[in-house]
Amino acid sequence: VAVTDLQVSVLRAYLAGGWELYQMLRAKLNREADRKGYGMVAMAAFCEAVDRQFAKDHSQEAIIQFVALARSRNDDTVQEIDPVLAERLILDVFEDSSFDGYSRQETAGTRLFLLAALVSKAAFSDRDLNTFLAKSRKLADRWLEQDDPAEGQ
Amino acid sequence: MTVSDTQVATLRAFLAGGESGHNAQRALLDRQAADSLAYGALLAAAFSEAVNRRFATQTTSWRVVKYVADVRSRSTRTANAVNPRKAERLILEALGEGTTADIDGKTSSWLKLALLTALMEEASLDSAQLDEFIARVTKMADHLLG
Repeated sequence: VAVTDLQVSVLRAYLAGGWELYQMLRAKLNREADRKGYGMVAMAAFCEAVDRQFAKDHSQEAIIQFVALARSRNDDTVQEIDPVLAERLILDVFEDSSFDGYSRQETAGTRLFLLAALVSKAAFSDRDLNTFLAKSRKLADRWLEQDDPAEGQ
Repeated sequence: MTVSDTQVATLRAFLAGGESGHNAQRALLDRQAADSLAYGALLAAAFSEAVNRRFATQTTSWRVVKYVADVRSRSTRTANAVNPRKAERLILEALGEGTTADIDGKTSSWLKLALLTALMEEASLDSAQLDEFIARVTKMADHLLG
C-alpha cells in the first residue's frame, strides 16, 4: 500500500483552500480503499507542519498561544475546537500525550483543523506547498511500508 | 442576609494579593454556615464586575479566548489547572452570553478565583480604587443575597 496521487490531490485542495475542488476530489475517494492512505498522508503532513512551527519552541506557552489564535478564527471554531485536545495533539508530536475521553472522529477532525491552521501560518507558495506535500507523502509511504510487512518483501 | 465585615475583609485580603493574609482571614469564616453562601456571592460579584470592566468595550469570543490563553501561558501549573473552555464560558456568562449550569460548583468557584486573581493583577488597582471596587461588589452581593 502506498499513498496515491488522488489522496495527495485531495489534501492539497483542502490545504490550498479550494473548497469546490476539494469537495469534487474528495468525492472520488473510496471510503474503504483510500482511508488508510489518506489518513496516513494527512497525519504525516500534520507531523511535518507541527515540526516546522514548533521545532525550536514547543513550550506549553507557544502551543497554547497557537491554538488560541487558530480557534479565534470565528465563533464556530471557538466553540467546536476543544483547546485541550488541540494542545495535546501538537504536544504528541514531540512527546506522548493522552487522548482518553476523545473519540477518533474528534481527534481526526481537530488534527485536520490544526493542519490547515499550520499551513495557513506557514504561508506556503504553490511550490512550497508541493514540496511540503511531497515530503509528507514520502513519510506516509514509509509508515505504510512499516505497517505492512508484505510490502517490504 | 447581608455581607459581613469579616467576609469583606477576606475578599480584600484576597484581591490585594496577599496569600497569607487571605488564608488568615479565610480561617475566620465558617465554611459550613452563612459565611459560605455570602462569601460565595461576594466572589461571584467580584468576578462579574472584574470581567465586565476588562471586557466592557470588546466583548468578542476571540478576545476571551486570547485572554484565557494569556492567563494559562503564565505558568505550567496554571496551564494544566485551568480548563480553557470552561474558563472562557465562565467569562462569557459573566458578560451575558450563554450559561455554565453544567459546570459543577467547586470547579466553577476555583476557576473564578484563578481568573479573578489574573484580572485583578492586570487591573492593578491602588488602595482607593480597590476600596471602590469592593464597595461596589459588596452592594452587588447584598443585592444577590436579597
